[in-house]
Amino acid sequence: MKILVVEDNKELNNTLKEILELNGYLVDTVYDGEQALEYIDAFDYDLIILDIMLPKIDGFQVCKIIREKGINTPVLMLTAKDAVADRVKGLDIGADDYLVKPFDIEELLARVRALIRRASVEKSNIVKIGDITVDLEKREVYKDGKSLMITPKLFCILEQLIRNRGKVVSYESLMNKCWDITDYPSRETVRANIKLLRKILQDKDIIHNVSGVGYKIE
Amino acid sequence: MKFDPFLKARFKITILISFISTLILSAFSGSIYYFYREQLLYENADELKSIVFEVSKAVENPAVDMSLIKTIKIPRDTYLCIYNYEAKIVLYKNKMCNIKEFFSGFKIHGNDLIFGTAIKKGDTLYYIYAGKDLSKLLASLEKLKLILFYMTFLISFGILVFSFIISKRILSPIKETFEKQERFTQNVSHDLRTPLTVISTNLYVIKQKNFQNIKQNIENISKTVDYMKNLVNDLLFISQIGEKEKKPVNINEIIKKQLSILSPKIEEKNLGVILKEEEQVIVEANQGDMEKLFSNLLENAIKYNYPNGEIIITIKKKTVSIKNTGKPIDKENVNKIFERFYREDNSRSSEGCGLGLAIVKEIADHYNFKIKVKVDGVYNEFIVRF
Repeated sequence: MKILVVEDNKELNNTLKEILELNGYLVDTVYDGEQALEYIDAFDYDLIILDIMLPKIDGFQVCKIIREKGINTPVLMLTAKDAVADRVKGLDIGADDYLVKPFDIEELLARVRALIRRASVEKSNIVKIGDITVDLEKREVYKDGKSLMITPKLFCILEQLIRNRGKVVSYESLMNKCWDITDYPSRETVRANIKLLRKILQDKDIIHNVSGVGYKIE
Repeated sequence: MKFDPFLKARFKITILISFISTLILSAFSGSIYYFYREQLLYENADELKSIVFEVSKAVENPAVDMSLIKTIKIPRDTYLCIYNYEAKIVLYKNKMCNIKEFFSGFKIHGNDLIFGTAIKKGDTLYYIYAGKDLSKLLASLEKLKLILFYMTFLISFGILVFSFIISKRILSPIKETFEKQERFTQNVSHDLRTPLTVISTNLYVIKQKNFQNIKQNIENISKTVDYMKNLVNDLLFISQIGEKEKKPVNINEIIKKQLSILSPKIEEKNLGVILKEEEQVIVEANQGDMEKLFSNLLENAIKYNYPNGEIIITIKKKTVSIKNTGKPIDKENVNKIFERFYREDNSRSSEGCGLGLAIVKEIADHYNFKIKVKVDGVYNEFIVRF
């Protein structure tokens, strides 16, 4: 799951990145509205955390522009203003949720999870696929009641497939969501990781190949 | 809509002033009416008294025949009645009296003012009444009453309007102070939200990381605490502009002093500073306010300058201009740079908290100075006009 954090306060931006990464998300950070739009154009995110008071283009504008472009990525707005009018404005413009600073981190994480869940095909946090159970909140995988060791990267791939259950997830999408751009992933990398994942799950039939396009879980 | 305590206070003041002034006015016009009325009645009563006095002298005189009484001259608008109690005869002149019972002294009967007395001539008792029709007088008194009433009403209404207007002026300094305080509180609570989030978030991370590898988090917190310190100082400064002692301040000296304080930063960027003092400028203001105004402008000129750039300061009689080389300010952002927390570019260092030019504007507004920004592609120029 990849998140874009748009916040002009450097310290807060970096800390949000750290905390989200500790919770298993891949995070990009930008400091102003202009950069945010560039990043959103170039990459695919599962969630955008957007501050309102930003240099150059403010958060309201950013949200409006991306919605006008037809990008439906969930947006969680952060603001220092507690006015009801502001909250209404944010939600009207197309933001999905709203947090007033100073917020509780647990609440932020819960809302992040909720927004991602809302956007995904699979609505529940605990998913059963054959004899495998995946807890998307605790980020754990069980087979026959026993916990399986799984790396964050492999879990990310698994989560992408589960969130889009029944749909084909392309190689590009997986590269985008589970690797940092600086890692320069290729289709070969994805293939190798899928192979590893199948081995850990001890089941070849859960993840289906869709040749030339990507993978899917039924 | 928020409840406005000042409107309430204004209404209260207005009602109080109007009530008191209406009370005073009513008492005043009431007494005017009363005294005027008494005066008029007194004059007329005097006239009647003198008639009765003369007549009674004539009646008392044994040599005078009662039938001659009718020949006594009295003013046209008065009348006279003499009643012989024993003989039950009424003698009258001008108008018959309808009085049935005896009385002595003054009495108002219908529209008439009557003075009566009794006299004994031998064994005969005479009642003598002199009267006057006061209907005209009473009508004009009635008119006076009406005029006084309307006048009182009109003036009271005028005072009501006036006091509503004046109450605004009475309350405006209090309101200003109050609003300033309120703004300060709002600003503090708003501006501290982000730094507070930084601190709480970092503390959370520190705990989650079990106090391992937390150098960066500690640094984040300490930077943010410094920022908050500066911020609170700046906000406090803004809220106190104009509340401090004023005296004639030499602007030239202030600028020179600030330049020497800022010289390490100037040297660090290797900037060329040219100071043109065409006049000595003295302004009636608070020393601290002026120091802050110019130090913020100069700091700005240093911060947004190119390395090896240039700062030109020109002090004229009515203006101070501070010109610096640097990236030209966007035309459309010229007004925004004075907004709180606005930054033109986001390559921000932690120094300052985005309040520098906002403070400049607050100070200038308070002293009615004009600040103009000129951008010509090479220089960004800030002009302060006193």
